[in-house]
Amino acid sequence: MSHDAAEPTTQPESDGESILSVRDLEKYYPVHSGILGRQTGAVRAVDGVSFDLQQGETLAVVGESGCGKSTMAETLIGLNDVTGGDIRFRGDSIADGVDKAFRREVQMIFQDPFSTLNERMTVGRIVAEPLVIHNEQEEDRAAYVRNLLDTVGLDGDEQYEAFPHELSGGQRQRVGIARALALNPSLVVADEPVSALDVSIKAGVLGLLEDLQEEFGLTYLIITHDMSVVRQIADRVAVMYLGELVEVGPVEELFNDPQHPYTEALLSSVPRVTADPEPDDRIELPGSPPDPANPPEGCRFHTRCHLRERLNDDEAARCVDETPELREVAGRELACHFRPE
Amino acid sequence: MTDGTPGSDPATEAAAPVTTDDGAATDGGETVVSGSSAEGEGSTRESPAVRRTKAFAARVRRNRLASGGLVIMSAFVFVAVFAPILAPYDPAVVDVPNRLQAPSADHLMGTDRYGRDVFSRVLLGARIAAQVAVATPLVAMSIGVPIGLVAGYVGGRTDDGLMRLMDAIFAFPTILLGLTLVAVFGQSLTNIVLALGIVFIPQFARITRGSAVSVAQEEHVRAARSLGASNARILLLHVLPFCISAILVQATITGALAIILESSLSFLGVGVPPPQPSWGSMLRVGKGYINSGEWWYSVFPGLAIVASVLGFNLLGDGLRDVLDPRSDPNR
Amino acid sequence: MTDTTPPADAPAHDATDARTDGGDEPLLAVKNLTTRFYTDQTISAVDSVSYELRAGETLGIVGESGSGKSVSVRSVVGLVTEPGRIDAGEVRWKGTDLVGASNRKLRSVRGAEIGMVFQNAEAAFDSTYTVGEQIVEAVTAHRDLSKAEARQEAIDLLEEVGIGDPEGRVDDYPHEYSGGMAQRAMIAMALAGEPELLIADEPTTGLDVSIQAGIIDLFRDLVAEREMSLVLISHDLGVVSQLCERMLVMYGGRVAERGTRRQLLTAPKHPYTRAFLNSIPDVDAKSTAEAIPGSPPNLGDPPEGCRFHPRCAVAEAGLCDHERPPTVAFQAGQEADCYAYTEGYTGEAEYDVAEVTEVRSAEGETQQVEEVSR
Repeated sequence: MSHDAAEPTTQPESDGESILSVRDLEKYYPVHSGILGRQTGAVRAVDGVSFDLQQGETLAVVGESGCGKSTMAETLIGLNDVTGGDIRFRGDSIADGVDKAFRREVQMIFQDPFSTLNERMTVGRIVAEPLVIHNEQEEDRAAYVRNLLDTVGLDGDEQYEAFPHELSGGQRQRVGIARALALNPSLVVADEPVSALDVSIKAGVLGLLEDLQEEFGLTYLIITHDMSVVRQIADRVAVMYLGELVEVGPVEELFNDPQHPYTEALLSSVPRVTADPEPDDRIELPGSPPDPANPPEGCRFHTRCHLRERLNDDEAARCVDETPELREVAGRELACHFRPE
Repeated sequence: MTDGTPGSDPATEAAAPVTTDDGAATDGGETVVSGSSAEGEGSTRESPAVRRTKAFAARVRRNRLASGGLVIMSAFVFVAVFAPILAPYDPAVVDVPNRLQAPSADHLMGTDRYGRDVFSRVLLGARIAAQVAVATPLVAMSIGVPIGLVAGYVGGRTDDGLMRLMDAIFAFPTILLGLTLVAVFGQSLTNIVLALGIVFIPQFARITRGSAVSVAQEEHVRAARSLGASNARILLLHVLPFCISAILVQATITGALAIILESSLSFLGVGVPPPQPSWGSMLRVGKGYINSGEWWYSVFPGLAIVASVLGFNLLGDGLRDVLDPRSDPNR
Repeated sequence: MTDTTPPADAPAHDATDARTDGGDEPLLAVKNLTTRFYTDQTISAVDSVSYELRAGETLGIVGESGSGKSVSVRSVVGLVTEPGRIDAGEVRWKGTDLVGASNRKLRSVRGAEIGMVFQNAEAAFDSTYTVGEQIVEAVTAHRDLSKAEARQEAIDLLEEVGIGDPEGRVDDYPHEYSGGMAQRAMIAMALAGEPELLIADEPTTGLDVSIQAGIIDLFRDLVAEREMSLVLISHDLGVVSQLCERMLVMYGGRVAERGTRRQLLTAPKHPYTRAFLNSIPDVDAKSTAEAIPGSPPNLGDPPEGCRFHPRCAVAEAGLCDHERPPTVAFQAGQEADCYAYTEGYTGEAEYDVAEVTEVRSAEGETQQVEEVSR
């Protein structure tokens, strides 16, 4: 798998080469009710998301369930239609649909290693499938696949004829990764790549992803709810809440000094491994995320925001009346009226 | 599930571990995979097909319905294949002086109005029944399954349209429809199989559609789409293989119904034309002799129908239980 | 992964140890519990596991796939059915052995004395009855209250577990509850019989992290206010360390190590515990988390000797792969089942054996050691 040498992943900003450009992306699902089943509303799974992805970087999109991150991932790789906005891959819009060339360049790693592989096919066939579909590597396909299996940490000779049921979760996930890499893509979207794996295996698969990125110059978009995964593997992180981005910035800075109240609460909620737990330090995030079909007025987070309790009446009213825009401030993007203070 | 998918098994009462199809025991949080250890022993390299066939065969043996059905079916198939050899008399040979003889050592099931040996005719009738029972599902499947696959996978208006079409066929009482089609095609074994095949298309379409709809949600299908696989490829490689068990069960049920339907049509006189010894046409003539006491003329063909249909049904029910353990309360 | 680097001379004694105010007799004593599943293979899911719980203690059982943690607690409350069987051992609940006890006895213990909370809240509830009806059913099954009193109790329980508007919510159906609320409702149902011990098996897995944090706080409050004991099972060490003062690490159906939270997190002894701690990705710093090579053992054909040895960095061929390792006791109650602290070990590890107080073979023979010389 020869590919251009990786751009240094530590300084994506200096590239100036956006491999993926998303502008005001919207993905709505209509809600039907009543006897005639007329459309009465919409679930705004993705509601106006914009970001750029630089060649060679790893951007993590993090959020809880219902925030729309998985929907967005599937829309970005063309599995869903776009309701509104634009997605540009290397400058070409894919909002109207994707072609085979796009499929070669953009691949996805899925979440559940136990359903992502066709149990009736051997590992070799599974990994070779993209090659078959795109008529690649017609000579010596088997050797190529074996090599690929070795690259992802499996045994190319041993596992080539294996069936998925013979493999552990971690191994299956590696097969999924090999499959995604078969066509030599430039962008890989990973939807919860390690969430279904044992704790002691996660680090291995994450390490593999990092190695592969370096070796093949890949760009990653990682979707996850797991903040520690973000910390380990991402350069930049975008925090998503109810269909919108609320904070975007470099991982180290954002984790050390979160600005958006939701980011703060999210980080604080992660249970730390410690011999001395300090329960009172946690920032509370009361209630559950609101219904995406009926998001709150103004700032969507205001119903659960700990910052809002400390505001006076006028300020608090602003949270309801005015939706904060995602704007650039202090080296990151932030959507909050009252931060940075 | 291995590697810590904190298992999705239901809690409380269903706390008993469930043995899934591929022999992995799951309990509330952990799966233990049977079969070769993941660290490449390479010893039990069996395809899922082989493994499942073995496990499947074991379960069939354990399930009384399926075993019973299998026994009857085997007898049925055996008879159908070897009928000419088993038959003591040539079923077409007429022997008028010996007509309407009661069952005896010479004629185990008596003779008919032309003196032909009823036993031999029943055996040969099995051949016809077997052909119908096997060919009809095949015909129905060859059209119904693709329709179901497309409807289930594509969904939307295509699904609606195709299923309404299937409903239209399904709405006809089977005998009427069979009758009509035979009247149109003409009476012959081939035409009957064709006609009956058409009658049963909707069932296969429905069953396949049901399976296809649920398989289409699975991640490996989404993965195939993201790779750029064509719809045909996805349906053939990623959807169809998972619908096979349901289709198989439907095939056995259809086989049973086909025998009944063919017998009914022959009974009405619009089935397999004489002198071919269809059980149904034997009944047709036999009914005229019930009052005069020649019971063997109708009872034996009738029993043959009952036995073969029972065999198919038992096999079908048993298969369904074996293939979908959760639906069987007797586990 | 905060303070988990194990300096060899870290004090193992935890001064802030558990509230063992339950007296001398343990509330729950599991001894040599062995559970197997008899399918195409014989699966050794729990292999001679022993532990104790005193009244008022919080015990966390940590392990990954195939560790046996879930099966062991289900064995404790008698929820293991065919093809699983408890083949050996005893489970003494307040002195009475529950293994082989009648169904009636088990049913009376479950709910009234031991409450259980599982992972999947939706599956715990019957979708055709309201949540209130089901909690009332649990209440009246174990307590002598009138219908009206039971209903009020259900409302009170919903409030206690932090469900807002309990009077309104009590008549809702399970599907009308969000994931986190359903989990809380399941906890309410587990509390309905006023149990002395709450067993929670992966209660927060699958929930959003913010909801998870709320459930953790809830458990903390309940244990304090109701003076209950808690056994918490999870693969998430963060969750366990937030709630449990004592911990048990399980691997391959056996107990690898046990001790207080402080002991295990600051001075782990067993190679698996160390490797496990090292493999946890940290949210507070980009660190070099290292995966444990290999895969969990196949319990249908487990490794000989120590079940961790194929993946252990310091295993000694000929020793660790032969017989089940002995239990090595350290100071202040910490114990690890590992050869590397015994006299016969000549492998790569250079573990400090200064704190070893006793070595007990798998059969229980004691080899009293005060000093192990190498």
